[in-house]
Amino acid sequence: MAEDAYAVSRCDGAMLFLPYGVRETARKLGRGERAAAEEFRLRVGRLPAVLGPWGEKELPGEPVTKRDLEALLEIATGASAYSSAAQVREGFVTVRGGYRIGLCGSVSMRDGAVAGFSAISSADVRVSREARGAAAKPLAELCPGGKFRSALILSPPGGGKTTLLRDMVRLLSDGEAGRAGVRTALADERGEVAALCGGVPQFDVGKRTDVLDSCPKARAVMMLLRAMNPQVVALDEITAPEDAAAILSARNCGVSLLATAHADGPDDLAARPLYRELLAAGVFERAVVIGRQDGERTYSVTELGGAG
Amino acid sequence: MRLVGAALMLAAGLAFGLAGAARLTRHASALEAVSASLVVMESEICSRLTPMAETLALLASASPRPAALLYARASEGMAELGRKTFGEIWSSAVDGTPELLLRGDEAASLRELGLCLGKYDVREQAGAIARVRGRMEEFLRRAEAERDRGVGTRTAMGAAFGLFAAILLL
Repeated sequence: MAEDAYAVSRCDGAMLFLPYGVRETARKLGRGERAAAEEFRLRVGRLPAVLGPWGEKELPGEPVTKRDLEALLEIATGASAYSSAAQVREGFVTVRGGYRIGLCGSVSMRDGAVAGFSAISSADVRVSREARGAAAKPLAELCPGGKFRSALILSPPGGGKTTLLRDMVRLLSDGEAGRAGVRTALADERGEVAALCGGVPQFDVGKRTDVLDSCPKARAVMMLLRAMNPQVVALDEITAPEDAAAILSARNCGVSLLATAHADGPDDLAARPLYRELLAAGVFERAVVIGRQDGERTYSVTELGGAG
Repeated sequence: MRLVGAALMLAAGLAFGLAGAARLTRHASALEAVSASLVVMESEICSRLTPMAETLALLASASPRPAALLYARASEGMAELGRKTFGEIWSSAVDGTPELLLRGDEAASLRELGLCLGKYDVREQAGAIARVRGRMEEFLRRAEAERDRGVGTRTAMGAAFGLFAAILLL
């Protein structure tokens, strides 16, 4: 019941960023729909829609206008688009409460780089939720003898890697079940894990966690190593060779690593050139594979083979 | 009795003239306060990327009056963001601050700022603020010239009117 109330309150919080007319319509959704809602999607000229386990369901009322999307961005940034320009250029805005608004439309270029949007044609408001305690069981398996062993969280896109990573960072940082908390540094390039807003994490990432966001992961890892003397470095989605190189450097500094990667499992991971070097170097000892059973997420911990 | 009436007429005329002169002075001071506050606004928004709500709160507390009143009203209006656009909130604040003594073209220029403020990136913000600040400075120069010409004239005219009325009464 408490979980349901939390899920509904997160949806209601996300609705606050919708343009006024859409928000009023969305408020008429039933409690069950609000508890399960994952995103609100707005496309110019189309009816707004709510995305959930049922797929996309159109909301009744007027089609979305260009002005609605401008209002959405204005509400999301608190009429301060300039202060979120770096994020807008990346196509999203992280807002208070830890919600994330994705943007799409006509991009304007300046000096060969994305300068912003000349027109926004669609947007989605994601109803992000914490899964407190979800990481407790897999984390216990990652800490034999009480010491955390470097690990990768694996799942296909949309599988819940970021949510699990967030809870794992929180538990590592705070400590749990007799295990002492450790200084954890979080390289949160896209601001999805801690969702810093005005310097304040919008999600609980633990009391010993230092967050560096909006910075390319490879650079962020090196900055965190130099500046914050972490015991664990966590990062979301290893996607580029530079990320892998930074991870190898971090490993040589003696810190433990926690990261996520798009893969169905260890075999799929080993088949990807980007990860082969990391696996061969034995950087990550274990993997947490996220699966689904009867609509519920499952977490299984497996050993990762490597030369090290 | 007539003498007292005449003295009162003279004083009233003089007071009327002085009030007109004071209004010219206040008008110029208000424009000066607005222009100065726009310099701070530009710095906060374009250099420090201070979010709009904080910028308005800062300007409300740090700007000279009556510009501070404009920002205080805009700052209060931010609670309505979502129901109203920022442009509407800003316009309401401009229209709801009669203490600024703005004339039609002056108010229109300041209202226009609300159409850009908070939108787009720093370069556009800087351009919009600089443009409006430039216009406000022109208005200020006009108001100062008017004040310099008008203070003496209005005081003298008020006194002359009072004196004329007093002579008629006598």
